[in-house]
Amino acid sequence: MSETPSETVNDQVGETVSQAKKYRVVIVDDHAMLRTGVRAEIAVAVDVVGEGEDVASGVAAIQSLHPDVVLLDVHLPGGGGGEVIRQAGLDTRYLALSVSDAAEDVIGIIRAGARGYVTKSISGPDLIDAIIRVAEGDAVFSPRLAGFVLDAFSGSIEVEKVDEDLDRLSAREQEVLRLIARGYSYREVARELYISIKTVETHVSAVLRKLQLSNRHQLTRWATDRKLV
Amino acid sequence: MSEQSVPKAYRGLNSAFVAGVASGLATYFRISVWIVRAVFLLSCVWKFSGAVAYALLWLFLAVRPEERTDKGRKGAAAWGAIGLFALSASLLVGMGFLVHLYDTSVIGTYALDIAGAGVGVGLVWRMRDVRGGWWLRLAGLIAGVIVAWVSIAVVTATEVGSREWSTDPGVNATVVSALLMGSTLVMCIICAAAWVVHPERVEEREALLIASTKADVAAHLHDSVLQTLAVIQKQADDSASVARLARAQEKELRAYLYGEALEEGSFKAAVREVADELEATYPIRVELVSVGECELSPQLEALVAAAREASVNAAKHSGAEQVDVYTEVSGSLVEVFVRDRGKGFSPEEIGEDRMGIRRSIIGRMNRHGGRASIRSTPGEGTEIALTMPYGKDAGDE
Repeated sequence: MSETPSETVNDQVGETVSQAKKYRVVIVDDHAMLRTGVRAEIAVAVDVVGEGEDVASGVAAIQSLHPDVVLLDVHLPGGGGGEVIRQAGLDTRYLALSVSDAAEDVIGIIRAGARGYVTKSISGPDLIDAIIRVAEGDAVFSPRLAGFVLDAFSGSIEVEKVDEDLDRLSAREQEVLRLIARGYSYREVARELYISIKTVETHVSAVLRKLQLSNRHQLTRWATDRKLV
Repeated sequence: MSEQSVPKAYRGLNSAFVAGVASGLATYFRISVWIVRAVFLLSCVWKFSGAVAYALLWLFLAVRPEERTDKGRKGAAAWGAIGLFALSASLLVGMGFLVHLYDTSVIGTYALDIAGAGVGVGLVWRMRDVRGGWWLRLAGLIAGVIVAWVSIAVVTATEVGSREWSTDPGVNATVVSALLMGSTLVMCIICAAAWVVHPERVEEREALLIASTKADVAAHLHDSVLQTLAVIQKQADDSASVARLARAQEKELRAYLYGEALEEGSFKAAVREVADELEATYPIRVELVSVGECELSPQLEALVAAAREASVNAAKHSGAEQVDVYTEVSGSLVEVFVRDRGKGFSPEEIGEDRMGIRRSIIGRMNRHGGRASIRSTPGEGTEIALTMPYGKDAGDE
């Protein structure tokens, strides 16, 4: 992002890479050019063990290679990224990668089970950072996804019966999401709120869980309607 | 487009006796064509109902697509069609004879003529499907019109002429000729029906519509993406302008493909416009996230202008590649955060060269009842937070 992205990210990468083995990654995307580009960008920090170009080949690669993280395109021939998750199962962790910023795509893939969403314009070091986060079981929210979640969970959706646990964000969670939407990294959010990075990660994972489990059918409707309003 | 989803009945000309309706239906219902033919033929005995049903199906069923332009067998097909048509015509007239014998109503009396009219109209309709030479079609047309007209004329002249309409023979003659002209007109309309309804043409129109939608997309891509790619190739060594072009194009294409249509005069639309303008003018990426929406008011216009100034500052002075802009409309408050990870500055530095910040951001916000706060750390970046109370219905939601 700025002139010193590699520094900030590298020390995060360093923390994790130095003590552990390299994470194994499968890239599922229908554009060969993009697969090659992403592979080149992340190969320094992770092991790209396989690729897929559609739902069938993606599922096959995931089931035979058992990667730590799958980089998953939202739009894929044969049913889209959500279909890959449904067929290959949730034993693997998924990070959605997309050019589309449409709310229905973003919300859709997260609700299918992806642990994060980043756009394809993301820088190499940021992507590596995101992959490692997902590999370790944390959630990755781009500013845009954070914005969507705030929008979706704000009063704009009418619900007859609200499950307090799942259908509302706590004040702290909202604070964290607002900072992420403003472009803050987890580290910066932690510093801003005087909490640890681990706590930030806990909050974000909790929001991810709510996003995936909330009974609000309206959540999907909301995402679809956003295109029409 | 519906061809895959819903099976459609077609007329099968290749195995046609008359117009392929029976063979088409046989294929559609997966039964023997002879059963269908027998049903049509036998139901003719009751006032030609089978023939009428056949005619309607003929009119509204399209010829099977792959049989529409069969160049190799066009001559043979045309003669074959006429031969088979003559055969079915004689069958139909024979049927007319049967009706004539056993039915004592008007239809029974003129059964042979009605059958003849049916044969004539059929000949005219059949010529539409024939792919032979024009002379053949013309001959068939003329023959059909003559047969149909003579049959109609016989019925009209005999039936109408035998009645006394008036004591004045002049009036009688006028009535008869008027009715004759009327029935001729009706016959002409029926003959022309097949050439006007033309279900194949409807299908072709649908296909054309799909093709033209594709052409629209192609034209759009040509005007936008291909042009931009051409410009990018020319400026390949100027990485900054390549990035800017690619970004602008990406934005445009994305809006075209899955654009969120923003309402004219809304707060979001105004902010989006500023972001687009900024990206087009400066080599900077604007990551815009908007939560909530409201109508634009004079106060919010001031807020947008201040946010623009803040972003321009980031683009000009921070040296960062990206500026994050976050807007949130919540109840009574509209907030905008403009953040960059550039060089930053210390607040006391806001001197002569940074009058923009003083006047255009802080001053403007204060004048309109809002607030601006600036946080900047040298080396880490700057964040400008703008807050504006949300005018008329503050505290409503």
